[in-house]
Amino acid sequence: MAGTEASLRIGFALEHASKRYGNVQALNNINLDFTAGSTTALIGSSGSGKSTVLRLLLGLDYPDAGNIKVDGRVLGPARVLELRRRVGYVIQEGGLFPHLTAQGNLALLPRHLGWSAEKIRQRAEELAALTHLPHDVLRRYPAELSGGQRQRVALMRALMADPDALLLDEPLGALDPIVRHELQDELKRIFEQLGKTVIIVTHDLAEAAWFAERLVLMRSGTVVQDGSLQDLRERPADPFVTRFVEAQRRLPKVPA
Amino acid sequence: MNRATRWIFAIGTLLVPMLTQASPVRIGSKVFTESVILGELAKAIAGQAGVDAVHQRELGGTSILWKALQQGDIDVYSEYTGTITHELLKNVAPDADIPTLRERLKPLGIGITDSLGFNNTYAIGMLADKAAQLHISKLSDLAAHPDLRFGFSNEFIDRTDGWPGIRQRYGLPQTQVRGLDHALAYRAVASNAVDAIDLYSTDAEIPYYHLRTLDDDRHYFPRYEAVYLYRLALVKSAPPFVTALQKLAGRIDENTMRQMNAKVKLQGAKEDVVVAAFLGIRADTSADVGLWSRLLQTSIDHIKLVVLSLGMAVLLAIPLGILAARLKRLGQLVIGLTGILQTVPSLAMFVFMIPIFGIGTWPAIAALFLYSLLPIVRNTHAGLVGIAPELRESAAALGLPRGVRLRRVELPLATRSILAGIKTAAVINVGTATLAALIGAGGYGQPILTGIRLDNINLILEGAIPAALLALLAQGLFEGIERWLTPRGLRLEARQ
Repeated sequence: MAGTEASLRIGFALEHASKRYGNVQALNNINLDFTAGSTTALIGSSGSGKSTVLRLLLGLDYPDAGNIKVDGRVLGPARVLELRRRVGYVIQEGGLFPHLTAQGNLALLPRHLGWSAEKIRQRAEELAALTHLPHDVLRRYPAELSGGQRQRVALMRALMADPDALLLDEPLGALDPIVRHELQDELKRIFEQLGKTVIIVTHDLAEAAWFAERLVLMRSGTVVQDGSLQDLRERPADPFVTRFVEAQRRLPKVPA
Repeated sequence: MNRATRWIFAIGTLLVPMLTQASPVRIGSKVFTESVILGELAKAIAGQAGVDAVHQRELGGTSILWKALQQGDIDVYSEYTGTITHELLKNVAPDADIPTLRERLKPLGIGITDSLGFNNTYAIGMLADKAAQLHISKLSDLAAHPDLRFGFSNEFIDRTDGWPGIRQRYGLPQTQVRGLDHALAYRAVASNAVDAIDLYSTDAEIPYYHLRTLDDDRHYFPRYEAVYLYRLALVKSAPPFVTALQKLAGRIDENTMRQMNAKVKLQGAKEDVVVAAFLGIRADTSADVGLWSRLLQTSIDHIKLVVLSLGMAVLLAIPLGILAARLKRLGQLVIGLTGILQTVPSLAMFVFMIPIFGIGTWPAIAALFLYSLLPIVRNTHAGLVGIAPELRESAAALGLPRGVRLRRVELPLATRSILAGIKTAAVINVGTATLAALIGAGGYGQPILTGIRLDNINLILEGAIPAALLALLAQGLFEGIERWLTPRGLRLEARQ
């Protein structure tokens, strides 16, 4: 079982990867392994380099030093288009194209891949069912969608060509708490149902722990700790880990 | 890119026959009445000699006519000896006689007739009353009145034999010197907006406005004998015409010329009628057309200029804008270069095109084409560069190749900006194209030029109103196209 399924999934690794944007060292000699089929949450404050990790894995940028490996092979420009088609990518606010309807956004890649209109429609319906999106919403333009609907459509767009991995960059960051909570449930169910390699970037520790067993805490382009929530709580590798864990606000106690 | 090269090729093949077809004798004239009358005269005697001739009227100033004659875009035009010695030939004495000029012009393939019989030299004129009041009768008297305001034609201000030379010769101290169109100068001096203007000694307005021409007491102005310049090739291709042209020598004296000018400018007679009366023949009025068919012709000419130049500009400028957005360095270079093109004054741009394309429609289209590039290149570039980075990245992350991203995502998102650029270019183009009449391209500029020359408001409006309407129409048309082409999703976004 593992043999056949693993070949459909995709594994990533960063080896001694460094990346600098102007004066900012976004990644500093970082080593990370994402095995096929695993779910990992990258956490840390903004500017810690977690989004850069995703960008490098997709070949949207290349490291200044070190390597990105996909399924054990170094990622170079020649393989990048093929890789991106095997990976779904969702960003905060969705990144939907405003000039196309939701359906048009979904159809963009499949149409280029030569799918028939019928096949595209079927797949969209399947995914609408999966993400609990009302069907008529697909005819609307992004400007006519609510924040939650936009993220659902963005997720559907990422899943259209049935990718082997999902990379999500703060996918729920711009949503109000109720919609966010609802989508957290749905995303987790979808991840479990699909069994793909998932890397999710968030700055919310509770959300990270909800999605993934494995948490990678980053700070200033380096990995501070790589482990479970329990590891972070009970065996912090650094005082920063404790500060980060304790910085999550709990509800104040209501006086009796 | 491929489509653009095909276009250029197609236009090239259209161009060649237009430049080489040369059967009738082509007569040119400058944009003032006397030159137009002498052009009509040459045409009339060609008719008498049984030679086919066309008259390309009001082709701007000396440099345009001289270039066109040298290049063979026209065969004949009337010129003045002083202009030949000062402006057209180098290293020739300012008072050289006609046989000397004939020797000097021969190597250029250009012939010259003897003097037609009058000397139309420059003069400075003032209202007679005012001159008497200030006791000014000769140019040297001007030195004592430094506050006088001068309004000179732009050509006179710039020419070495014009204002700079006269100021030096007479030691004139005046600093209030303004450039005026010659046709407007008489009104300016009559309404006291300026005190003195330059004029030509055969101008019809001198008696009409009660002007005094100041005596050139230090003999500064050279002689400006009227002659025809013609291409020597005509001696072989149209010998009867050249003979007839030469026979005009000595037949028009200063008074006759002034009267012909007056009939056209002050009494509203048509040039060909005046010329026919002079020659004692009947004017051929078959070519006279009514307002509506004139309007139709100028509209066709004008729209042709705008549509062709704008169309070619769109084909080149959008790819240039895309390239500029892709490659930063090249982008700056392209935008810089098209920006420089934009700073070239329009008339100069038209004149620059003459050595390459001759006179007529094509140099005008080329000049308008160059003017149209900048707004479109800049807006295409701005539209593409202004796309939110997360959208550009989302398109890349989908795994679409560059070309598909450009076509399906980036260009649609930049549509509005690109169309706004084309709209700007179109409106500028409609306005600038009115100047194209100066190099023989016709259009709405033609009645405007003639109207200014003849001080005829109706004629000016005959060009100005349709030009304004066409600009509004272009604006409206592109706004419609913009609404039609802008994807609905983008309009929604604008509403929120």
